[in-house]
Amino acid sequence: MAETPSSLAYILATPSDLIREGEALAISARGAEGQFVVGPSHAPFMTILSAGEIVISETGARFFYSVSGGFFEISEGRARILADSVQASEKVGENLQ
Amino acid sequence: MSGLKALRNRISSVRATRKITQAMRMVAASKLRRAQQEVEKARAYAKEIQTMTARLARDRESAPASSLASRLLDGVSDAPALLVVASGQRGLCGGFNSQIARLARARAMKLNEEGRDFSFLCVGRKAGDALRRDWESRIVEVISPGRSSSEIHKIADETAERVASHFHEGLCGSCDFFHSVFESVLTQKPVMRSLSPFTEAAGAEETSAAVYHYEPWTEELMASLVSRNLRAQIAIGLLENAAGEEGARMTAMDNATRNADDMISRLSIAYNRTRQAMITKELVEIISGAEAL
Repeated sequence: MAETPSSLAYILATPSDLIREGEALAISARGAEGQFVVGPSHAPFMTILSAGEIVISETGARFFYSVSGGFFEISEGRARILADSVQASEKVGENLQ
Repeated sequence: MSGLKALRNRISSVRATRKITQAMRMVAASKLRRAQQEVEKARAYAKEIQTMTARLARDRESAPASSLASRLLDGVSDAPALLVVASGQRGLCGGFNSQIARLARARAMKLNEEGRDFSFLCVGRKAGDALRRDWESRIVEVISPGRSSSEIHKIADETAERVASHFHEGLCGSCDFFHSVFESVLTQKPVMRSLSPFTEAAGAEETSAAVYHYEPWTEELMASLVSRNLRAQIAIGLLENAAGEEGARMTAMDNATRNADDMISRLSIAYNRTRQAMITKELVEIISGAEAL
């Protein structure tokens, strides 16, 4: 199968640290108006993050973080997750099969 | 003999000073490394939130002009200006503190000429001391800057809160932030950044024409994004300032150590010459005494 033409560059940062950046296939998080999932070609979108879990799916691995709140933005194949504080959840690095 | 003793005392006192300056240089070097790491870690967030705020500022239309966020974004012309001046809490770092104070002073003079009222909010005692000479009554508060990065973030939050409450109470209509940027150990550049009205950082001019979807409605998002951005920009400024201060201190202490070295070698030469002169004098006395017999 042909490779997905575009993946989603993302950055996950808190005011005091850059937690993670890379290329994701999908990112799911809880916004002000509920849970959402974004992929590489999602329309431009900005929201306040609610406290909850963020799941970043990369090729071959998924990363789980719990955030206390913050902001989320996606535009032109780039996602910005700016959290107030981030805690890596237990299931970090769980392999997709 | 007394001349010799005095020289010996001076040499040992300069040696003691040299030990202190050298220790301070090493402490500054290690603090500098840590401070630089903290700046790097915080930079991503500050940069991204600035871009997001810029985008939102462009897209907003529904927000009432009187809201706090709008006032912070646009500034209120003719209202007094608030000058937030970050500096060190201690001296012994060359011209670091006075350079920042000079920049703030120049801005204050300009505002004065324009007939605008202004006040200072100092983060760090040193700039406060420098500005107090001319504008004692205009300094609203001197906040002590934190030492560790978590303290600095906390102080940044506090400072941002003060700035916001000044805006809220209508005490000021624009806000400039003065701090130093670490360029290298030898150069720390004092800069002025406008926190309000909002200006985009250079290089962030990507003008995407895409229509955004905002959740929840822009006003609420804007209020919290603008206040977060204010905190993040103050935090990055204070962190850069802390790195600059340690860099400046390192250079200053390096120079001091080198000066002490010079002084020790000059004093040692003087000491040896005096000692030699005394020996020669004694020899001459002995020889002429022997000849007289």
